[in-house]
Amino acid sequence: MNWAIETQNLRRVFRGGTVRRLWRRKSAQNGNGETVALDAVDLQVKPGELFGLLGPNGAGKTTLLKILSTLLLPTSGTATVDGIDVAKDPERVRKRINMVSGGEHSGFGILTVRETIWMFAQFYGVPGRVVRERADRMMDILGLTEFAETKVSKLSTGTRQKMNIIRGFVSAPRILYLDEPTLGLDVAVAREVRSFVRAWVDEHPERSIILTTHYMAEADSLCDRVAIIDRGRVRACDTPANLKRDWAPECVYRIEIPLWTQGGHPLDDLDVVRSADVEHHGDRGRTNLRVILENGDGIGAVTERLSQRGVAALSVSRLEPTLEDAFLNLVGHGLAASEEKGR
Amino acid sequence: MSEALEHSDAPSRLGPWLAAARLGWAIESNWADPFVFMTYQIVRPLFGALILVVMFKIVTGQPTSSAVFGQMYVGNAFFILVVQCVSCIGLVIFDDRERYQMLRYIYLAPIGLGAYLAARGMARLAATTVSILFTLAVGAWLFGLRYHLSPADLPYFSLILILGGIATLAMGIMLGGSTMLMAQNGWSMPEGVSGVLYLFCGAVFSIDILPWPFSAVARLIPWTYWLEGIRRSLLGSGYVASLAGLTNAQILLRLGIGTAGTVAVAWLTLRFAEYRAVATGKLDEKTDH
Ligand SMILES: Nc1ncnc2c1ncn2[C@@H]1O[C@H](COP(=O)(O)OP(=O)(O)OP(=O)(O)O)[C@@H](O)[C@H]1O
Ligand SMILES: [Mg+2]
Repeated sequence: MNWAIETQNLRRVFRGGTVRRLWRRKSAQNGNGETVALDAVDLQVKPGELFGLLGPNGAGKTTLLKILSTLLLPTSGTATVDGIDVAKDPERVRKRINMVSGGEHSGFGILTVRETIWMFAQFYGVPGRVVRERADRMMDILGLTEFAETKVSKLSTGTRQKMNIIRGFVSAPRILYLDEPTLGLDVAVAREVRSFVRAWVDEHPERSIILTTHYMAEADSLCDRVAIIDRGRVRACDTPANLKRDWAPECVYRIEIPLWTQGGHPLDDLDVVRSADVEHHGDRGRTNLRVILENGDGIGAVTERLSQRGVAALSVSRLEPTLEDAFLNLVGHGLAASEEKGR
Repeated sequence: MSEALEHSDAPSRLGPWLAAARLGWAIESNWADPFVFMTYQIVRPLFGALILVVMFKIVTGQPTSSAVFGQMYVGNAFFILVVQCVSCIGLVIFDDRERYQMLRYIYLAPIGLGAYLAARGMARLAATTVSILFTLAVGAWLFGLRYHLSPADLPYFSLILILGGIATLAMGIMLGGSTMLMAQNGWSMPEGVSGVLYLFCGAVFSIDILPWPFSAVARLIPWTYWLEGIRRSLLGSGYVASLAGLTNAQILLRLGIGTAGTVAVAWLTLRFAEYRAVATGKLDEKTDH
């Protein structure tokens, strides 16, 4: 098989570190002040695939995209794009790729949206007529037409991001990297962007997109396959459905009880409970428990314990496992927790 | 996989370059709103020329009608090109990386960083032509300078200008390219280098007064021969006594060799800077504030 992307034993180490980096995940740093951003990464992406990289802050997602896009050299190991080695022949790789990073405020303020798109299309040698067609169509889909002749300096961050996305797509790259493309966008715009991305891959079965994200739902609903990365290592790589099947615990229950005011939760000394999230709704006088059990039989012990303590179980329902559950299982903590630790 | 989509494998050579030059021009002409344009392209060079006049009178006590004054004035006027071009390209990387945050996208595009930097510099080169013409006109009008450019000299003069322009762009690319490896506080380096060059190429003082080894450096760099060629064509006589033995053709040849050398060094420097930037991850790393 001709992979769109293939990495073998890919490793990237950063030497030294600025103060900023000291705030980041210490665990990734070894004794010599070196940061192992990627370690033994083996990945294969098929042509036509929308491939997701999911991981907490500092996991190495951006580092991986930078290597695949020839912005950064690997320390060791190899990476090929469309069969071409990124370290040996970066020029040929660049003709086949493009990249969009989210969460930045980029753009030449002096140019209009259309001029920016046109200029980059020129850099890639796209003929003028084709640029116009593509730009018009994409601006239409993303609702950017009314801003076509607006100077970039006058655009909001979200609108700039849409322009940036079109800039990435206008060269019709064989492989496109999207680094958190929906970061900082409002819900509606993020949804537009997601459906745009999905439609692109569906329309072009020979082209691939690699996307990094923090959003579980984005990875789950959008991507054909997802690699879960943590501390520079790929923990698992599969379709979202398979990841959930293989890694998410099957025994997740939601139990609603009257408002619990005693701290912790009423099941904290029960062995069958692997973990429990507690959510208090003071206004409704309710507490929701999301409990993960060691096995399906455990639910009997749970209801028994509740009645022993005189707590009424107002409702008990079994939940579909989510990608987040799989993530938790693989990485050992959720994204929210690591976000606090990491930043 | 359809080859028709692979248009990028055979891009038109000029298209990408013109697009980048247009960006350069848009950025240049932005501060070409009349007031700022006047300040940078007219008033500043003019003040430089006037300071030169005052210094000349105080130091030498000679009138501005002396031949030496004409040589200094013309050298100073043309050197504006080097200053402007180098300081323009010297800032492109910083601006694109920190202010516009577009450097990574430029770098990834098949246009190539060298061509991109050259195109951005070309816009400034064009704008600076106005400054030079204006300064020369003021020289004729206020200080009685007479230019003797005969039609027969025009091909020679054009060749001199073109080669000097290429050498200057190459110098800009070399300095601009190496700023890839610097944090933002490196922005003043290119301008500093052009200041040193001012002394080394005999823009005002003849290179004959430089002590060894500086005089040897002056004989290697193309701008020395560029200015000598300009003076010979424009004023009818050369400036540097120790170069008087060289024919016009020999001046041109040395300028050509110096330009080729500068282009080669610039190319190597850019390749090295790109390699280091990609190896260390500095390429699109913003300076921490
Ligand atoms: N230029 C650099 N120099 C030193 N260390 C770096 C550099 N770039 C990244 N790192 C470190 O490498 C690790 C991986 O960073 P990377 O940016 O790839 O993570 P990420 O998964 O993209 O995180 P985020 O979700 O925050 O974007 C981090 O520990 C980071 O501090
Ligand atoms: Mg990142």
